[in-house]
Amino acid sequence: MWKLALRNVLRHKTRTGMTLLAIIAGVVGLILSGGFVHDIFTQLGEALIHSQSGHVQLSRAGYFEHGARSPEKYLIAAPEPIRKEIAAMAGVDDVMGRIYFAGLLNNGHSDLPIVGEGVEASREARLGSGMVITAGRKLGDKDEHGMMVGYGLAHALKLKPGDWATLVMNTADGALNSLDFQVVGIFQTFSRDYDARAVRIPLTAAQYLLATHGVNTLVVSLKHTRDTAPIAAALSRKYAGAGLEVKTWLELNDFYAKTVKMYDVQFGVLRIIILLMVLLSVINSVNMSVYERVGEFGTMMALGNRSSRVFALIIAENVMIGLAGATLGVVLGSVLALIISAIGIPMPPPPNADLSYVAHIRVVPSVVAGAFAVGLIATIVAAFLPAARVRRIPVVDALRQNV
Amino acid sequence: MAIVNTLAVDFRLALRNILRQRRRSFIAVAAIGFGVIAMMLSAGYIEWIFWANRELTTVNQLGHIQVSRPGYHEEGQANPWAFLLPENSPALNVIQHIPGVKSVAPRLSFNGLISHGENTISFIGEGIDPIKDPSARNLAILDGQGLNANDPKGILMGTGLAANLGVKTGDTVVLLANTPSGGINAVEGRVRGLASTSMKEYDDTMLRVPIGMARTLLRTQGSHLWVVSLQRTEMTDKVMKRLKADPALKGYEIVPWTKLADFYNKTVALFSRQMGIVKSIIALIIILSISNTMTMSVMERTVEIGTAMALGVRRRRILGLFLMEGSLLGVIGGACGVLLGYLAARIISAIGIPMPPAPGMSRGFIAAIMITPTIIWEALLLALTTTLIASIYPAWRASRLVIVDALRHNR
Repeated sequence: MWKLALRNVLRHKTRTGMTLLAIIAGVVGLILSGGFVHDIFTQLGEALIHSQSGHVQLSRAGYFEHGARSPEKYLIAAPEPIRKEIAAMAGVDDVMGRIYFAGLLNNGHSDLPIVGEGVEASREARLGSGMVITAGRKLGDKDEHGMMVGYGLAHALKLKPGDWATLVMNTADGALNSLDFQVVGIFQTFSRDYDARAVRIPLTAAQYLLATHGVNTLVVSLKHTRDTAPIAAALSRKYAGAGLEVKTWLELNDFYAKTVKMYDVQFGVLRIIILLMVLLSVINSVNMSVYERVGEFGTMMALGNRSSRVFALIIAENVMIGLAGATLGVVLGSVLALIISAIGIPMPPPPNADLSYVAHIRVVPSVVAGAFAVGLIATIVAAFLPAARVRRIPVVDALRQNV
Repeated sequence: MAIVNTLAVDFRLALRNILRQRRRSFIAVAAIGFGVIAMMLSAGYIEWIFWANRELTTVNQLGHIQVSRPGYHEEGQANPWAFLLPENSPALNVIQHIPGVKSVAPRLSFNGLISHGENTISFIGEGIDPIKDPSARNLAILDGQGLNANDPKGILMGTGLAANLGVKTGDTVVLLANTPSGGINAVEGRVRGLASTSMKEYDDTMLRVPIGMARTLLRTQGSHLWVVSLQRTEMTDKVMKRLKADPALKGYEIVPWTKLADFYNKTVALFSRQMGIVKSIIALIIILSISNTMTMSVMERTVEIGTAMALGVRRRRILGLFLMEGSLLGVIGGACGVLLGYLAARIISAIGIPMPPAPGMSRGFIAAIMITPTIIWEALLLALTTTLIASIYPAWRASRLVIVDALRHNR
């Protein structure tokens, strides 16, 4: 019977071709739309990881909840051995220390509250591919009194590279300490609110100001974002005894989770519409090509074939067409996605940011598998109704379609 | 006359053909109709998202029009005292009496230090009118309550600021700030509630107080902004024109929300591109689905076409006949689609699509589908054009066939 079905499929070239086309178009549509939405999420995540949070952060237990008030109470006193240990783990790209402080930045006329970070300049430069320097340059290892200022902050205080500004902050014992820094660069991340408040100075300068050798967090950057969960779990197991706590970038960026959730629902509605369209278009094609062959099925039945055999034959044919269509759709969809990605879709800057980016269409295994399943199942299910109806048509009536 | 006659006959023939081929016509109409419905629903849904973005998020935070001293928006942060507006002025009076203006609320920005017990940290504050200011209603309050006119000492702060300071709702705090004359002043306040925008850096420094309290603290009667709310967003342009033309408002900077709403404008730009891409995928599927069905249904009638040609019907007339059939199907399918699509949109809107809260918003919202005339025209145009083009090709091919081959088709 499968041989017969295959022959039928090959014999009705136009009909098979049209049905295939409907399935392929549907599968391609699902792959492209799903891959595009997925890319939006991935790019937002990567931007956050590479401009601010890294993949995983380690700190003293309790720091993330209560530490912002007094970061000096939550120092990892001897970061270097831990840093070396983590850096040696598989999948870890780099580990860098950061120290946080709050204070005021003064340009000589007025001052603004800032959140400051003491960072290891060269290591951060490697992580921070998502951070764009709009003026000046990145902080280097030799800039003892250099500072990078967020775009919004620089604008508010009218600072440009080369200017000097005074950083005022509380020391551990409550006294005020101030130090002059020269602005070496102005940076921009994907978060406007961060850019309006953030300052980066060398880790050593911050440690000197705070009179410590410790760091607040060890920021771990990984080779692949997908390794985040297992590595975070491994770190958690390893350092829980030492009183350290581990947070992934997802936990550190509350904003991301909320945005993704909202986008997911918003695009979800459109994807449901696409799904419905695909289902209807496949059902339409299958319906038509079965009904057009009522005469042929009548002949079969007149020659003594059981109606159940006719039914099985129709289903078998559509299983083949469905398989072929879904496979071709997956291949074509993936190729199209790769081509479009290679060209890139220019996108305007996202809200809360000033940087435009280039969107791609990702070939996501789950989306591809889903599209394949939809194509195949829709074709088979679509065949059931007309097949069942053909079966019930009296042989003479069916034969009459031939005339 | 002869041409008109032929056309009339063709029309009747096309109509009869459609009625005769009931199942084929039905499938074609279904494909076209569903195409129109899908297009209408997706476009209407996107339209709603933009509308909601504008009305629920943007205008609620910025007001429709902001009036300030010239240059305040660029340089106000660096030198706030140079841009103070007077408490009462003829200009304020003028604005309040322009038709369409619902309210004018003063806003005063300041920063300083806040302390509680041993802790003192810096904040970025805004004094707002708890009743008239649109932003007073639109913040996600996580704990306690929002600002209230009956509680002149009640303040609202970001969750991050509260955590850093170690205060909770009900605690008493002291605010310290520089006054325009160069001195330092302090006032006491009570934490009324905690708010969150889900931007951590913002929440870590955000403070909102009733404007009266801010004025006491800064020893000024002025404000930085007059936030004008209108009865309807569409009135913005008209009111802008009147404000710009009024002599009493010379020397003020008047900015509509469209220029202020960087966030909104970017959301619209990005979102329309993103949605546009998804929408074009939908459009492509619709086009393919309709042309598929139309092509199939014409191809299946090759024998019939052959018979007609054998009886002496000219090729050109065959082409015309099928085009006429195609456009009839397109019109019927399009009309059904618009009708059902509109109905579906109404039903879906009545039920509502639940949406999670946007970052920084307290409540999720219920999305709906907004059908505008443009959307209907676009959907119809897409369906009709596709149907016509899709019926040209197979009809043209059929009319090109050798008659005997056409007659033998499918045998």
